[in-house]
Amino acid sequence: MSATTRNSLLLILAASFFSGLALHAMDLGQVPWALSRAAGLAAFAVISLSVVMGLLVSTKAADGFLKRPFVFEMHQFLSVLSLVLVAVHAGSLLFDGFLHFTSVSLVVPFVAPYRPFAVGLGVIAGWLAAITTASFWMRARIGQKRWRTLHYVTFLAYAGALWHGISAGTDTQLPPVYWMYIGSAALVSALMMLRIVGYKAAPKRRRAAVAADRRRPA
Amino acid sequence: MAAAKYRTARIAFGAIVAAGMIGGTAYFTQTAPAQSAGTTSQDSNSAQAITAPSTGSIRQVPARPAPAKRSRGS
Repeated sequence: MSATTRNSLLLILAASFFSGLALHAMDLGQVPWALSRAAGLAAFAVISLSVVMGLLVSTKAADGFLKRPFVFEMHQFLSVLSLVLVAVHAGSLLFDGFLHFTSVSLVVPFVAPYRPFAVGLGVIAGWLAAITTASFWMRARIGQKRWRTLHYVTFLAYAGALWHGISAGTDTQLPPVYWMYIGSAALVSALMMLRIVGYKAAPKRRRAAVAADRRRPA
Repeated sequence: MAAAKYRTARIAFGAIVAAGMIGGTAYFTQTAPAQSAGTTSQDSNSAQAITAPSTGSIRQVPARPAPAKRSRGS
């Protein structure tokens, strides 16, 4: 890490800490709560889109109309963006004067003052998403096979986020939110099925191709 | 060429998400009491039950207060 990057990071950390203290002392009314809800919903939408993009890469389902490097690039970008939104979603709860979340209850599962199990699932999903996103930059170090295995954790993170959103979210009954959950789950499930079917069909296709090669006269 | 396209797509996604966040926050700030901490518009004025994490017992907490704008009758 260069000195400029290190200094910038230290400056950002210090600025975040002091602005956090200043905001904590102010009466922000309903804003932190509203921001947390908006960020949570945006985070779920972005996570869904990222998972869909990842599945489009692995199933090659979008190859006819989208270039695979572009889809992969967006998959990676959306993963990072979702982590930023998760940080805003959780961080803004620190400034909410009603629920009394602490920094510990935001990062440790099942200790939240509100719906501990459902919030705990969200915390675990956040950690899993952070680990899989970080693995993009560790791919060369850990190897392709391990990276791929680690990447399957994304599905657990997605399932955790969906459960967290439905059971801990206070806006599930709003029609756009309700349909977002249903649409996201349906799309991800359909692409997962396509992925599983494609995965099982691939060795058969390879065997058929080898057999056809053998039958062909030399 | 591809890098410029990726950058444009990233900015577009970022802008859409930022706009959604701002719009969502503004909307929820106006309608906050109706959906506060698991309550619906029907029970937003009543006490709500939250399960305490350490003991598993039920404790009563007052409902989230309405924002100033609403209390003025807007």
